[in-house]
Amino acid sequence: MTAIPATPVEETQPIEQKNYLNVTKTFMSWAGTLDHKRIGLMYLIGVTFAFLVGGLFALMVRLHLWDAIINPDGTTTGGIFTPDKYNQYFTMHGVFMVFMFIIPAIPASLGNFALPLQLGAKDVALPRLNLLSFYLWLAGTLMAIASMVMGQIDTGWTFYTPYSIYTNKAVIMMGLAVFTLGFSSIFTGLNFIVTVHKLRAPGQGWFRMPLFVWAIYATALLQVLATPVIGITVLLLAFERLYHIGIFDPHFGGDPVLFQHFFWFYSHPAVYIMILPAMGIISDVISVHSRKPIFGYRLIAFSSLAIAIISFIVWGHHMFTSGQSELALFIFSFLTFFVALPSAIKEFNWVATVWKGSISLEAPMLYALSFLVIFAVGGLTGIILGALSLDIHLHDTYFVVAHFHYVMMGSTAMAFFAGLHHWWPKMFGVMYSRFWSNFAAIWIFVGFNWTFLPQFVMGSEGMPRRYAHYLKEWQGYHQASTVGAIIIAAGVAMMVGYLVMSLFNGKKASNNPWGGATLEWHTATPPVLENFETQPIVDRDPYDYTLVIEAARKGEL
Amino acid sequence: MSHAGHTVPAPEGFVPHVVAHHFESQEQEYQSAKLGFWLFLCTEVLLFGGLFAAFFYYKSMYQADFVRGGELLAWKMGTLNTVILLASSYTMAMAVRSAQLTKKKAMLNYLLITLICGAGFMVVKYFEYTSKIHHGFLPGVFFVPNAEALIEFPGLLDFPRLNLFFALYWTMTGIHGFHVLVGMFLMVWLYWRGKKGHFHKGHYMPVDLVGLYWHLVDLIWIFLFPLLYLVP
Amino acid sequence: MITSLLTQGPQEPQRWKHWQLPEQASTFADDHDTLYTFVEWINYIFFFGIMFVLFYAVIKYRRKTPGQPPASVITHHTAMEVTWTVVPLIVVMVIFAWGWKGYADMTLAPADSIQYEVKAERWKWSFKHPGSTEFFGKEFWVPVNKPCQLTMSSTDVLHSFFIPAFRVKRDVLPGRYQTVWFQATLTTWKENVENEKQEGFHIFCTEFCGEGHSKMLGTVHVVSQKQWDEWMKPGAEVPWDPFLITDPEDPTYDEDREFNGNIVYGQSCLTCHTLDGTRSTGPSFKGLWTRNIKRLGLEGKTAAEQEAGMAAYITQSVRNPNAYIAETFDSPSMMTPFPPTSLNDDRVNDMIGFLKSEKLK
Repeated sequence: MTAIPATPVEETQPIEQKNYLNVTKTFMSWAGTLDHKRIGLMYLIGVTFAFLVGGLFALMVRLHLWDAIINPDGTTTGGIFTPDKYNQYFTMHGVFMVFMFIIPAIPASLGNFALPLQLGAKDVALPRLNLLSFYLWLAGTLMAIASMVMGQIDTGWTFYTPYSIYTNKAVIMMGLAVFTLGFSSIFTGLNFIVTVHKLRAPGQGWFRMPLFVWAIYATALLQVLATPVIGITVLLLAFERLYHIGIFDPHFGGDPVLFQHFFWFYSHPAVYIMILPAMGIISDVISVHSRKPIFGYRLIAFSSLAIAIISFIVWGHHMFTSGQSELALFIFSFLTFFVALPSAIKEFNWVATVWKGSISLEAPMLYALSFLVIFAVGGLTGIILGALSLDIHLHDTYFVVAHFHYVMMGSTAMAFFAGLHHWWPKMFGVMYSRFWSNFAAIWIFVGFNWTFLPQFVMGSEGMPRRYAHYLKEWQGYHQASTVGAIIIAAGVAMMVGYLVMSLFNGKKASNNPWGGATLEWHTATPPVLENFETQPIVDRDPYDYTLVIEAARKGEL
Repeated sequence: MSHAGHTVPAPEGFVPHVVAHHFESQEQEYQSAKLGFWLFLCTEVLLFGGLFAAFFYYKSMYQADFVRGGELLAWKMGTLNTVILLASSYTMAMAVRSAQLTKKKAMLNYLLITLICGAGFMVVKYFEYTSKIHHGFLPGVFFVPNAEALIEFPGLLDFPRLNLFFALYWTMTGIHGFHVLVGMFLMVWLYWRGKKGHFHKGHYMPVDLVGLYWHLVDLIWIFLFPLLYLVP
Repeated sequence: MITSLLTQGPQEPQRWKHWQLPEQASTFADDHDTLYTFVEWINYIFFFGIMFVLFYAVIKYRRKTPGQPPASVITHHTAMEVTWTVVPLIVVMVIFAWGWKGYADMTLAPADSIQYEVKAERWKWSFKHPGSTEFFGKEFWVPVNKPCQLTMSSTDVLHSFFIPAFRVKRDVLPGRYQTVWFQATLTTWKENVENEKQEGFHIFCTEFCGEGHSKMLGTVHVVSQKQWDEWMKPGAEVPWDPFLITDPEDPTYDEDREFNGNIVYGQSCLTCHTLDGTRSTGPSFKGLWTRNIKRLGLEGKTAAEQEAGMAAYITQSVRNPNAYIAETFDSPSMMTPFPPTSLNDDRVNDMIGFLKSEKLK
């Protein structure tokens, strides 16, 4: 039996079809669910909350920086918050965004929903572990909120010692939150690795998997192998604060740079945990919305693995000025350029996919195209930072801030929006407003660049980061950046608005509104609890659109 | 809601195992669980790996202090603990084998002995720790050797970085000890389920996986012991 | 070995200005800015190239009918794939090597470098000039066209020493010495101008260190060789030692102390204490003398007794800030203690005179 029906589902539906959303309705059936789709939705609500909280902190930071000037004689004017509060807010922005939003967002919400469907499986390999992962995320988030109340930390999300040892804030509580969130991430990754190895549908060899699955797989490897290191790091920091064990504290014979090594050994692979799933979404979305097979499938698949492996050996490029040996710096700078190459190859492959396709400009595609533009900037500015002599000047300035927002927000978050809009009809069975989604996509793209482009220039001129006050000569850039932040906030509000509205009065979605060829588009919308009525068998490539084009031509899509 | 999958027949007097609904076969379930568990063990290796890395780093920075610190440790108790853990790994492996052969009584006995070995390990550890506390050999800023210790181990104050050595000693053996306690708890759980007849030749996976965990705990000790106790 | 193969040492710099980068004020700047421009243009080429292709594709290959197939379905093109792998590889290797060489030049200070010591603490920079015994903050002076090496250490947490105009940066660690060197090429110090505000190049702290992180500013002044030679003569009056000698026998004792104290305030207290009554990280100095005379029960005592009592209090507050916390402020104190190595007894004495002055009483 072929897995991909030539004719899509009938137009006439029974009054209320049983699907994973409505098959049971009690609170406990959701709180204790083992269904990956429901768990994915719960995660989606959770990470959206984290995104909005992190975004709120960002807005406060940027509003403060409208006119927070320091004069040459050292007095300060303007700003809204005291420096201590400002430090807390930028720290909270980083902590919420990194640990509670970006790292889990794509794998745990969209990955949980789509991966088993794309593999033709009924669920992930270890559903109970999946639920545990969610509750660990929730527990970690609650602990983070508790630490905010107990003594909001002001160390930056990087917790550098000795400052983080001596500051009188709830560092240990936040450390425990990070530890817990880390385990949530590890278990999610573990689950996905086993699922990809063991639960693929008959006929689905490794090279017939969608690239989103490859991306999640590479991410999962990083989650499992890198996250334990941050676990032990925050544990040691907690012991350092409690018992002054002296491992990172120079007053007791310790080494603060050792902390940085420990921290970045995880946190560099962590940024690839963030971007790899995003790249997976882009591969899928671009191919589907250009209705064209992905260019260089194997190269993209292998480059995901290459990025995962190389990401482990470049962590020192976050520490070029901290006093490492010349040999270490040589090696780290050299390898950093190698990790950039697979990403560049992917970018070219994506552009080649779009070229001569049959392109439809809906919201998922607009976000994906945004990604291509913004990721190019983010990646290229990363090359600047990889060069040793340039990084000496640019390290810890706004140039770095702009670079990482281009890759973390402009790329990962945009890809998250792309995936959200791409799979929204499948998840909820409804379509959102075409006009508003397209408008918001363009609006957010403009707002994003408005916010962060000036920061590159500021950074090159020497404006340091994490400054509660700045010299007057940089006020123009800061004000432009703040205006951009407000634009982004308005755009996000729009997005939340029309997405929520679609749940109430969105048009019913068909099974395959975009014309995808992967398995999730060939089952009911929303899917039934067990995902498929009968076990699918895979007999063609995931990006082979011949049947889709045929169906579209006949008006049956 | 029911996740009814298919049932694996069990020998007479045992509880049949129900395969989880999303698996095609018991083989797939077993292989998935095993792969997942090995991945988890990798994360444990990395967790301890970080600690080992810190230890090696400071050992190379403060060689004399770390040698002196090693001399202060009770290597005889450590050796005893090594023997205990090795023996317990053997009995654990035998427990797994018994489960595979549906030898319930043997399996329960072996689990019990493994549990007792684990408890023995913790008891020896208790004596070791109390001796250190008595001497004042606590981690970090609390490292204050008392008068007795200064007489018994002359020249301690010549080594300013012993606090760091003991910080690592307490952290590493403490976290390892915590894993032993978790292992003991898992033994009890296996014993309880085993008594009810859940494990037989048709379904012995949980025993197998806990066995893997226990072997890892033993393996970590095999590295920890010589590094901390035996190098001087 | 790698360093010696590539290092050439400082050369005569050409001076130009990149619109984004600060002026080129050291021998490192020219090479740095050239590499920056090179990579920047590579960025523009690749970026606009990609944008153009995408823009064009999205317009030309727009799906106009539902069943429109793609114009082509090629998924491989070996020649192109090899090209776009090999060309970026070569480009990044060039950038790496160039960046490495630039960095290598920054690591080995010439043997005849003028030596300075730098101290970082929360939240100020202080500098010990050649021939001086005291640390003075927050500015330092260097001669033009001479290599200068700074040996830096922190007394508390991580800081980072950054002079954008020189393109140098180095983290400053507690418990360890780090060095950085540069050779300045642009003079900033105006000679023979009394009372005119001198502008130097900015120094920033670029490793987050707490509340005063953004206030930890400094200035480097570059002076002509002639001026430097004059200052290096023994007994010369130098700007990094502006303190007047205070002598209780002198009729100008109080004024001299106030003058010195003003300088100490600007260096060490400004970040957290205001002079106009506003509350900052710490209490304002305005009215401090009067408040504490009352608190210590010194009203009605002789001037000498008052001075002695206040001197004891001020010394204690500076050396051990936790001994007494002012009302409405948190315990433990946020203030870093100033041991005699940071603020010697003369300077503390100056502060006493400063706080006692009429405008602050």
